[in-house]
Amino acid sequence: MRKAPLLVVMVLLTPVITAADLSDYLERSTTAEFQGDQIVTCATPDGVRDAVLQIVGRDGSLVVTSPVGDGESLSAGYGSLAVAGPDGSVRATQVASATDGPGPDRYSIVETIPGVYLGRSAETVVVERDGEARARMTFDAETGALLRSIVFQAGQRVYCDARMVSFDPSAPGIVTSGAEPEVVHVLESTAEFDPRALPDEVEGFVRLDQYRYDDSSVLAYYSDGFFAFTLLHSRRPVRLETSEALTRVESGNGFYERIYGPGTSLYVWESRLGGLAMFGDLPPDLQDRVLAGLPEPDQPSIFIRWWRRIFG
Amino acid sequence: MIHLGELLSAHLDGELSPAERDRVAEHLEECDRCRDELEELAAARAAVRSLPLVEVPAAALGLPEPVVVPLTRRKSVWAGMAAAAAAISIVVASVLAPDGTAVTPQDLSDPFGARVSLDPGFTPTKVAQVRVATGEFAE
Repeated sequence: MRKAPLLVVMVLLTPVITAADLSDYLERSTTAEFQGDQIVTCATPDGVRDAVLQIVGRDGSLVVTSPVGDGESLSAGYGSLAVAGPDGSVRATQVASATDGPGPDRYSIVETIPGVYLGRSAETVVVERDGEARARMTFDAETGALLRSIVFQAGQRVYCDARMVSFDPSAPGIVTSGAEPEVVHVLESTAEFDPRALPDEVEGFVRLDQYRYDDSSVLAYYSDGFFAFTLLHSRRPVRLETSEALTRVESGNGFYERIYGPGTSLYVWESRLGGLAMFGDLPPDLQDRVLAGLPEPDQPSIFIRWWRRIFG
Repeated sequence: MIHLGELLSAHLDGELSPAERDRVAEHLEECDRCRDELEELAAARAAVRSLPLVEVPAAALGLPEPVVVPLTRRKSVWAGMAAAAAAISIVVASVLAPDGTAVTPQDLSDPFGARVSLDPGFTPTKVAQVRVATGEFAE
């Protein structure tokens, strides 16, 4: 007799369980058709990184250009990334095969907030991984397009804020030239790799695929269903060719060299197992945890370095 | 009168005893011929001493050629081989060794962008970030 009121109270206090999970939101946003302008601002350990972008979603692909860039546009979708230059030339990267990922099962929606964004009906969801807030995403109610995405680093501090400042679902423009790619780089799957350098899993990120990069290097792809990164392992030292300033981070017996972009990071280092490079969209604290699970920086002796350079 | 003769040469060479030197001096004061002969003998000796010295080859004298042995410290054979090997290694390494695997940010970001488009977490922001990270879209 006394349990009935208690049960009622428990039901009333239980948060509303939404019918859609995170994978539903993400899948719908991938097929949304729209065009809009987006501003990306990221607070990285190396300073603020930002960008202004024009995005078109069409037929399951996304085309990205930048009004402040050099006229290149990107088209990505279905395992392919094509870069069209201002002169009409196109070069593409395609994956020959891919393993289905685990999905964002580690992530859960802990709050759903209906609202308005850019004058449109929208839903904002708060996403957690392992009890820690990782993202706050706002989806257009009509099309499902992702209008705003705030990614958190540890302590729910904002890492990146990517927000549409204009959005038009009525007329997705055609911005690609339609030209055939002049250069196609096909990523062929390989079973020959060093599992000590490319472990099966690190910090919840699962190695889904590994591709041959060159005679002495393999490129692996890791994902936890939401964030992802590629990890290059070479028997030889990896040398990064870029005009951008590199940040040197001491660790172990060596150091990492690092570049931050708006929402991405690139690390290059040398280990006992050879050269390594990591590129991905992980927040800084997840980067640190993943790097801790990979071969640590190490400076081999001059004779070992010569040996690796000559014989791999 | 008995002239000095061979005593003049001995006189010039300083080989006479004090008594002989006194007797030669007394004779030269009285004998013009011996004074002239002494002057000619002294002039001839001076002319010969002014000539340059000429080295006569040993073969011309029927002597064997001398063998010159330098006085240098002998090096260890192993040290010499090690030094040679090190030098060869440096040359080979510098000529043959590439400077590692060269990658650009695009070499890593483009495969990432292609592969991530198959993931459930594929969003416009991920594609945008791929190129922005290379600096090509950066403001």
